Amino acid sequence: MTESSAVTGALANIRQQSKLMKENLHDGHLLQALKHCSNFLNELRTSALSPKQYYELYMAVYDLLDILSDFLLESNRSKQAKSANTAFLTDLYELVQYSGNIIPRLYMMIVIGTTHMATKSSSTKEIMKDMIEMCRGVQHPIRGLFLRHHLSQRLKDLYPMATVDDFNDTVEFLITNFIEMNKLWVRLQHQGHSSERELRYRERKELKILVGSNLVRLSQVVDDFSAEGYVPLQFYVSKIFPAITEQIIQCRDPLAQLYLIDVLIQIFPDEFHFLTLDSLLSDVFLELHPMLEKDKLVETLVERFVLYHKYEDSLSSETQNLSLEEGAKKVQPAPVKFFQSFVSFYQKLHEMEPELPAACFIAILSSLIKLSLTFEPTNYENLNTIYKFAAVVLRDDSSDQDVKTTASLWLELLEAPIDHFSSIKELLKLPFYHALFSKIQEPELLRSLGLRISQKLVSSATKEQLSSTEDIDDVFKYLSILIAETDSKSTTSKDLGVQKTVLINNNETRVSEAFLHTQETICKVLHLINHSDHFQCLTLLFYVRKKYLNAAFENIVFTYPTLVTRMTNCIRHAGYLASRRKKVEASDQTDLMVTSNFKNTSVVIDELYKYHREADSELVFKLYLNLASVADQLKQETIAYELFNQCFIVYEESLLLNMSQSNLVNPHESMGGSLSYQAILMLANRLQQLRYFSGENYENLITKLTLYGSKLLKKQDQCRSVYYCAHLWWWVDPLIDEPSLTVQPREGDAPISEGDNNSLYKDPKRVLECLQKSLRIADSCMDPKLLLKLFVDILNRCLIFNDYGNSSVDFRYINGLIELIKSNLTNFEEDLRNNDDEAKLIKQIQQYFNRTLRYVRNRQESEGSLGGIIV
Amino acid sequence: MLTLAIGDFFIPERVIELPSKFCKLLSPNAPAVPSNPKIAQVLCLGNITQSASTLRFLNDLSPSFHIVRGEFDNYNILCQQLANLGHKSSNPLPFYKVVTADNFRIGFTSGYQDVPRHDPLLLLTFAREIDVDILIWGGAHHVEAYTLDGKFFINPGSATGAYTFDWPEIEEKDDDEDEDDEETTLAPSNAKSSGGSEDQGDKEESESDEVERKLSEDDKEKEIEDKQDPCELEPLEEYSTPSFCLLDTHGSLCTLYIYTQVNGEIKVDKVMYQKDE
Repeated sequence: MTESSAVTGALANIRQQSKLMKENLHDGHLLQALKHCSNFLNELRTSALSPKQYYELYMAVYDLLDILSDFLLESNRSKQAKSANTAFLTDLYELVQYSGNIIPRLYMMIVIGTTHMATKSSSTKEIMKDMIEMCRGVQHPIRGLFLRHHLSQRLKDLYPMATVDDFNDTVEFLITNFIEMNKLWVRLQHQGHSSERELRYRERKELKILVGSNLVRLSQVVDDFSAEGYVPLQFYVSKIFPAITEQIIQCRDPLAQLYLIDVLIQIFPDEFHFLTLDSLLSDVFLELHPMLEKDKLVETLVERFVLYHKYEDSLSSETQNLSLEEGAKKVQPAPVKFFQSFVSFYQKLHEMEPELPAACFIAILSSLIKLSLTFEPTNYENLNTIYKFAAVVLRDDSSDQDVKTTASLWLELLEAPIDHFSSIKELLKLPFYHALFSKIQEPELLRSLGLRISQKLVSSATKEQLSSTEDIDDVFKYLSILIAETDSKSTTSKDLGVQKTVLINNNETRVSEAFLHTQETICKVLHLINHSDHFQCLTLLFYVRKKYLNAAFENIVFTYPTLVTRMTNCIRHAGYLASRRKKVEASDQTDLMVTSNFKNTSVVIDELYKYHREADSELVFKLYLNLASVADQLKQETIAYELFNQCFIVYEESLLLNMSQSNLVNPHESMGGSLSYQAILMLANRLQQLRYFSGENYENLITKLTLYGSKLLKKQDQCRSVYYCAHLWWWVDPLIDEPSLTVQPREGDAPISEGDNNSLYKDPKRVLECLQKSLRIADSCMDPKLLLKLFVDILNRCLIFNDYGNSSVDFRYINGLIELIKSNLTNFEEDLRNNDDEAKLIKQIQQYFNRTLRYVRNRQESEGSLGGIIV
Repeated sequence: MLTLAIGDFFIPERVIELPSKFCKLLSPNAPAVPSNPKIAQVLCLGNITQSASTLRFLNDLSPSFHIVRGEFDNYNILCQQLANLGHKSSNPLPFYKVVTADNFRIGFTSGYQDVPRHDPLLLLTFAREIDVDILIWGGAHHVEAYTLDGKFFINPGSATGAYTFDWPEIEEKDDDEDEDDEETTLAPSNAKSSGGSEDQGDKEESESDEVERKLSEDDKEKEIEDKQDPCELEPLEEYSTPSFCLLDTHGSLCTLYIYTQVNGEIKVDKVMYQKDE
């Protein structure tokens, strides 16, 4: 017979017998009914069913016994109505004891006994004691468990609670029942063949609630009872906690221990646990079965406490809203003490069972961090202690394999406080936090943590500044791996394009976007280095470069731009402040400091040039330009001159013949061109902003640049460089509110005077010379279309200078140019009829020319400027 | 149709990040793509420097993203990052670009290839060459908006408020009435006719210092202080004012919204421009 048909058969029998019982009850044949009742209860004697199936039978029977109980209660009431002292139920209770089999007998006894108790008779407690004594008669685990469960279910609302005595008896009853049930439950594990261990284990898991419900009832009873002098907390500590935990320890069964500790933690209030914490941790947890995962237990306990804290917090903030005084009264349990309890538990555990897996210790420490952060958010000493323990675990846990498997746990341990704090400066300072960090060997782990730390630093709203070398050390010691690690190795994932990558270093190196992101983050951290004194700030920046950033020269190309830009900016600020102060008191000291900082920064740029000359000279060039501009603004002419010289050197050595990007050049576009052409324009832009150069030095530089421009490889680049350079001889914006050194009359020089505005450097003849030169270059162009375009470009340039009042670029010159363009255009009339690309291009130039003429006409009509130009 | 003009980020070279209020304002739907339901196209004026995340942020704002090269961009890396974002083109990072919005041809460039840059006459010449109605250029690190020869010129400033190594601005010593005059030239009714009258001679003024117009009272106070003690040098500002511009075009009318963050608060100013037909 299979199990399921066994159930069906049993259920059929129960249905049939119960039908008969109900009929008999209806007819008032009580004894007959009890017989049928005993019959269907017989079905519960089986040992052939799984717990689940047995439960099905039990539920069917339970409902039927309800009917019986109701009937008994009703007939007892009617009998009592006749005579007050009827012994109807007592007699019945005696009677059913003659039932042949123990299972039906006990079930019936319990139904009658509890019904009797419900009538509030005087013998309530004796019956209760009697029933629990009798239950000892069933020692089969499943049958016993359900029987006792039945007992406690029937008793649910009937426990005597009137006096302290009653209460003690009730508690005694519940504890006894709990102990007995637990014993049965544990014994179930050892039933049957040893090959069925796993099955047993699963079955037991299904039954755990039967055992746990006793504790639930117990906690309700403890909570419900009230009497003078009764304090639930004390009662728990002195009576319940010892009794229950003793059983938990003694049963030596991992499943029971795990489950029951969990129930214990969950069902009793937190205040109870606070008081018994020491004992729970060191007397109970440590005594438990060695197989038990103690980290899980600690986690449960801590979770519970954290939840409690959150609840209390929201509660106290609510009450504080209502009345300030009440909120203040709320006393938190001394958290220091229970952190200590956990710590001593951890120490003992570590001492007693050092062979436990590292994961277990880390998990416990993780819980402790959570606890400390919740209850004492600012107690860094606690964290330090935890990390000290962790460092010990890591040392023991030296085999590589282990570190890999526990990597995520280590990460969690180190990251938890990073997420928690708004400022992590204090955390990073903890000696053992760093001790633990530095013991980690896994680069993956270190990288991830370093990145996490730097992201936290730069994303926090407060943006805490690093204003001393100690501050810098505290942070950068966590970043060294990010700084030092290069990403030049080619990997399969890069090659397959799984990882998004970027080619750098003249397309020789392939780095991942993640790597670039890391470098970006390091740069952002550099921004946190700050000091109210700009010279101090510079010192810090030089410090970080020397001690950390130049660890990998391959990477400085990513971090130095930010570093140098910050240095340049710091010098700018420091210099401005110094020049302000100088007006009050002369100070050579600060002047000297400014000068030396310029030199030191230049050295840093040079270092970058040294290592990245091949691929990134353009970058170096720009950094020099910035520094040179600032030097001029701070009236450091010698320095600025030298720095511009550096720019010229980089230009000559590395940019002049750099052919990268040259494939993209469209000669007709006035913007863009070869890299060297771009560099000339960048330089020109900086030079035209110089204001504190002597006339001689300024002219040296601009003449040199114009010459460089005229020597570029391509005609269009030459031509445009020269006409742009014309602007260097014609300032339109004073930029400073004092006379510029550049326009001071020099010895042996004819004073430059153009109109009455002496603050602007203007040399009309040189401007014209430049324009003529560029026209000559354009004229030598082989491509007639390009020639035409350049002519129109130059015409527009001439209009600008004419507009700005340059008398040398007069209307006659411009008219000549216009005529030249017109006659050139007639050469293309033939081509314009076609509809090819060439015609399109010529049309474009023609339209540009027409727009230019229309513009001149507009200007002449509206305000009479650009006079004399014939359009 | 809404066109966003934004540039000069310098992340991480000069600043850590875009102001968070700008991020929220610009990408209300993040992380959905496009993260802004209203903006039709984004014009970026370069100087992203080395921030792939910023590039992605801009790319994801609207269905259409255009970018030009800034002076401090790494051409090589930026091109590849654009390619990784799906911008396949032989030259994804040109010096200038022309797009259209309603009846407008809009050109934009970082402008560092113009010498001297920011010069209105040079910008006008360039606008003429590429035949645009609106020219947006970068690198000024403060907002400018003016009309010249019937064309509209806009510099949206730096979105992050990054500093610049250009000369600090000289506080102009104009009387208040002068400023009022400038304000009216920017008003919509005058914008159409102001083209011819504005450009000659006083170029510095015709730049019609937009920032100054918007600056609040305390800056005027500074100015007064300045007058009292002309020898005293103004302390340098650590950062410029973060700003960007939105162009709302309808037919031939363009409304320019200028967003600035002053003292942590976002301010919006409006300038109108009507195109000559």
